[in-house]
Formats: sequence, structure tokens, C-alpha cells
Amino acid sequence: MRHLVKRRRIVALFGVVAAGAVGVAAAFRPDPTTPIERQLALKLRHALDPFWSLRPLGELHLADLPARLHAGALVQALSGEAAPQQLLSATDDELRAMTRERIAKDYESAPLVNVRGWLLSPTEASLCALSAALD
Amino acid sequence: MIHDALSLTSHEKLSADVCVVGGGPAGIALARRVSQRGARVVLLESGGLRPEPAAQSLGAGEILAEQYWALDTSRIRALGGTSHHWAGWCRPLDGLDFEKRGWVAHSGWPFGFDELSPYYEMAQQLVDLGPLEYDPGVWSEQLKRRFLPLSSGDIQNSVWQLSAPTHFGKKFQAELEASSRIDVWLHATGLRIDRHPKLPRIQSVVAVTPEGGLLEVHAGSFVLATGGIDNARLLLASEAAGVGLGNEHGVVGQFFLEHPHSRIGVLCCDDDNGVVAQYAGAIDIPGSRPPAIRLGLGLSEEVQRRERLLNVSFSLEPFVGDPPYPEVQAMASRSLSALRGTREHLRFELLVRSEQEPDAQSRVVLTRHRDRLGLPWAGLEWRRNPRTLNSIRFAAELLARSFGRLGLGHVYSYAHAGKDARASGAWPDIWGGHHHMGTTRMHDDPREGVVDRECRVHSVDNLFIAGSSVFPTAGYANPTLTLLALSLRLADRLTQAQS
Repeated sequence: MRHLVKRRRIVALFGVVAAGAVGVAAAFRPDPTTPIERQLALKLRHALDPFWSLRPLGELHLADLPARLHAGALVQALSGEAAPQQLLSATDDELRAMTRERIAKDYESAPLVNVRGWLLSPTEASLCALSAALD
Repeated sequence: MIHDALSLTSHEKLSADVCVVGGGPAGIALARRVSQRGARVVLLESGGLRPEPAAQSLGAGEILAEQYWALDTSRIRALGGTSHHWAGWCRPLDGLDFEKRGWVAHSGWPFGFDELSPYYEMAQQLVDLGPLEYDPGVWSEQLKRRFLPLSSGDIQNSVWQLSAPTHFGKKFQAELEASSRIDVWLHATGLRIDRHPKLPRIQSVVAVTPEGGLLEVHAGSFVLATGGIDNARLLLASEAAGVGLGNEHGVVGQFFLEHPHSRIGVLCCDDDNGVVAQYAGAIDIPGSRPPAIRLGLGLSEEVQRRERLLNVSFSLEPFVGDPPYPEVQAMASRSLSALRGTREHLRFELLVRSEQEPDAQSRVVLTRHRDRLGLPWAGLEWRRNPRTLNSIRFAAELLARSFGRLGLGHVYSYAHAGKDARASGAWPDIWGGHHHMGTTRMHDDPREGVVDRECRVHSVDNLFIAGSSVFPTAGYANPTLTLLALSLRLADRLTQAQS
């Protein structure tokens, strides 16, 4: 299925790694992305056109992180305090508006993320990474 | 009156109230001012009316540390000095630049902005500018143009007034020729400063002509105005048996300052209304003084204090060709803009012009080479310490944050790109702006500076220095306006002392 998250990694059984830029912890274990997180990831991809073109930068970003992040962790980071269900019920326009608001807020106070020279907000960096983590 | 010593072979003795060595902007400004107040002046200029290879070669030197421009091309020896090839960018130092800042080594002028303010006003007139107005808000209103809304952030708008640029030799040649109080001697290179045998005073300055003639000038006061390299060179070379004139504490030549320039990255931004594009070139104001202004971006005083930064500014430069990053990132740039609901219309290269932290190891020394007149060459050891580079790097992050907060665009920073940095060379690729400063710095304590707050050499009663070599720190503003203001102030001090 085109929209399914394919990443299935069986790596280590232990060790929580720093999630780097997005500030999320992710364990080396089979991709624990839940169905709701997958749905939300796909919804973001649909809403945030041209999401696909962020993939090359996302690949670079993921490669620089201490551990490969899965889509679920990235969606969690992007959801922030909002419940995934709540975001799933948002319209594309609402999602876009929320994302932009969040990016602007990031630039106020959140640490910048250096993605191979691009000085980005954590939200932008996570979206790039999510684009690369999705197939 | 202007005399030419080109073919002079004899030994002439001259006398004046004030002897000025160096006919550049500082020397001319000072000579005019003191003569207007009744003083008789002899002004010695190493070159002629126009730049000549023979005179230029006397400015040759060695580059001993960081890469730098050839010294004999970095300054012009002719009446008008380096105003023969300056770009006309004018801006006073910021108030904070004068302060002693706990996070900037050796910072602090003996006085603040207010002391120089009236002289800045006069300096504006010398370079054919308008009032001393550098408030971006005032300019925005006056020109009925919208600038970036940055008034309360860490990054703020900054303004340069652009002189035509004024050429001091051409502008004042007729006046100097007609002057009964100023005697300009062309092709007279200051060679030696002779102390009084018993008193802490200068007795005479000896200049040599191309044909071996000598001009021995006796005066009440002597002013060196030969630029940031040669002021130190002449002092160091003037007492063969010792460590150099005015150099009892070894400070002469130390603390050489430049304005480190660097291409720091790319600004990718949406600019439907053309607000950002205004920053990428001169804004012409036909029929006005100044004839044009240039906008830039600088660090607020608050963020310099909070983050313990040096003063840094950015200019935007239009690209010729594509930005030097891989195509994958060009595509990403467009997508990032789209995510934020903006369109990437324009890409500008970010040019940094920064303050340099004073450092005794950054210095001018004498080398073993001698020029054809027998004066030792200057050797330049320009050193930039890590704090300077860190401030530039951090400023790029502040700029990214400011543009991000306003939803205007993204910054791609060569300083953060690591191995993906611009193909032409890894950052930092830094160069100087031909701004030679700090080598005879001003400080109330003779152990920390060569001249006192009146620009008088500490250990000599009647020897003064004009020019940017007296700057203790230099902010990021181009030095001409400040060195003119200091020269005019010194002229007033000299004439007050004489009267």
C-alpha cells in the first residue's frame, strides 16, 4: 500500500537514543508507529504540498541524527500537546494554519536545527525528516 | 600653497605651528581646521597629486600571518590619500561601540559617542553628506519606503549614508593652493621624527624627496596622519637605538584591527512587495545629500549584551548565477517556503562585516627589508581570534530566527554547512576591508594605549596622531567618518592649546 509506513527496523533491544533536533526519544526496535500516527503522517503529507520535495533534505537530516527516527516519533513531535485524534479531524487548511503558526512560534524561542547548513525551526526539520521516513 | 618637492635636492628648513605628516582625509581635514583657526601648517605628502608607482612602492610590506591584501595597494600615497579609491560608505560608530564591554577584551574608549557627535556632524559635511541621521525609522518615513519590521528584535535595520564618494585631493586642491596658511609639500616622505635632546618633545620631522633632498620641519605640534600601518611604522622606526618612539610599553603596532568580511550564506525569501530587495543595492536620492543610502542589518544593543557578542552587520548582495549549494537544497528551499505559505522569489548572498576583538597578537612590526629611502618595511600579522568567528556564526543564527519569525524566509549558512559549504572554499573565507585600525590605540593608561584621550602620544608632549590607528575598538562601521571626526576634534584641541 502506497501510504503505509514501510520502515520496519529490528535493531537493538535496548537503549533509548536522543531524538536530536525534534527532542523526541526513540528506541531501536521495530517501528512502533501506531495506525493513528501513520494516518496523521499521511494526512500531513497530503495537506502540506509539496511535502515530497522535502525528502532529500529530510534524508540528510536523518543521516545526521544519532539514531534513525521512525515516522511515529516524528508525528508525536509534530503533534506536540495536541491529541493525534484531534489533528486527524482537522481540515487540510486547519493543519496548514497550525503548522505555520507552530513554525513561527518555534522561531521565537525553540532552538534552531542545523540541517546541513539550513537553519530551521524544529517543526520544519521534523517535517523534512517525516517526508524521508514515509514511503 | 602647494609645493612639489619632486626635484628638490637641497636641505630646506621649514617652520610652522603644526606639522602634519600625511595628506589623506585625516591630514587634510585637520590641516584645514587648524588653519581656519589661525595656525600655520606644513603638510607633508609622500605622493603627488595622483597615484604614482614610485610613491606606492614605498608602502610595500610583508604579510606575516592571515592572508591579507598587498600593503602597497591597500593605501594610496597621493594628495587625498585613500579617498582616491574608497567606496564612500559612511556611518558613525554605535553608542555601545564606545563602551567598556566585559565580554570584549581591551574594549572601551576614553569617551562616549556624545563627545564625538558634533565632530561627526562636521565630518558629514566634509564628505558631502546630509545631517547626522542614521535612524532607519526616520529614513523610512522620509523616503516613504517600507523597511523590514525589525525595530524590536535582535536583528535591526541599519543605514549607511553613501558619499559620492568625496575625493579629498580633488575637492580641496584649489583651496590648498590658494591657502596662505597651509604649505603642502608633495613628494615629501616622512622619514624620521627627532626628539628634543633634553625635553619630552619632538624637535623636528625630517622628510626626504625622491632626489635625495631633505625637508626639516620645526613646529610647535606634530601630527602623524599616515594611516593605520604607517603611523605605527614611523613610530617604531624613529628611534633606532630604542624600541620606537612612544613605545615604552611595547604597545605601538599592537592591536591591529580590521573589519572581517565574509560571505556567510544565502537568504532565500519571499519578497512580493520588494521590501527585501531594497537591501541589495543603493537607494538613490537624486539631488540630495547624501545622494544615496544603503540599508543593512545589524545586531541590537540588547542582544550584544545578552549573548556577549561583538558588533556584526549583514549586507545583502544579489547573486550572479546560482547559490553555491547543491541542487537538492535549492529544491528544499522552495519547499520550505511553501510549507510556510510563502514563495521563494529571491535569493541573496549574505555579506558579513564584523567587529574584530582587539588582540595584542594582531599587530604591525618592522621587518628586515628596507625601502629605497632606508625605512624598514612594515610586516602585518593580522590575527582574528575565535570570539570574532563565533560572533559571526551566532549572528547568522539570529538572522535566521528573525526572518523565520517574520515569515520572510530561510537562511542557509556556510558556517553551519560543514562539508557541504560553498564550493569555492570552506568557511571561514574571511577578508579585510582595507580598514587599518588600532595600531596606536587610545587609552588613558600608557600601558594600554599609545595615545591619550586627546590623541597625544603619552610620552611626548607635542606629538599627536590622527586617523583610525587610534581606534581602541572599531564596531562594524566603515572608519572614514569616525577618523574624520577624531581629526577635527584633535584640530580643536591643538588650536585651543596654542591659544
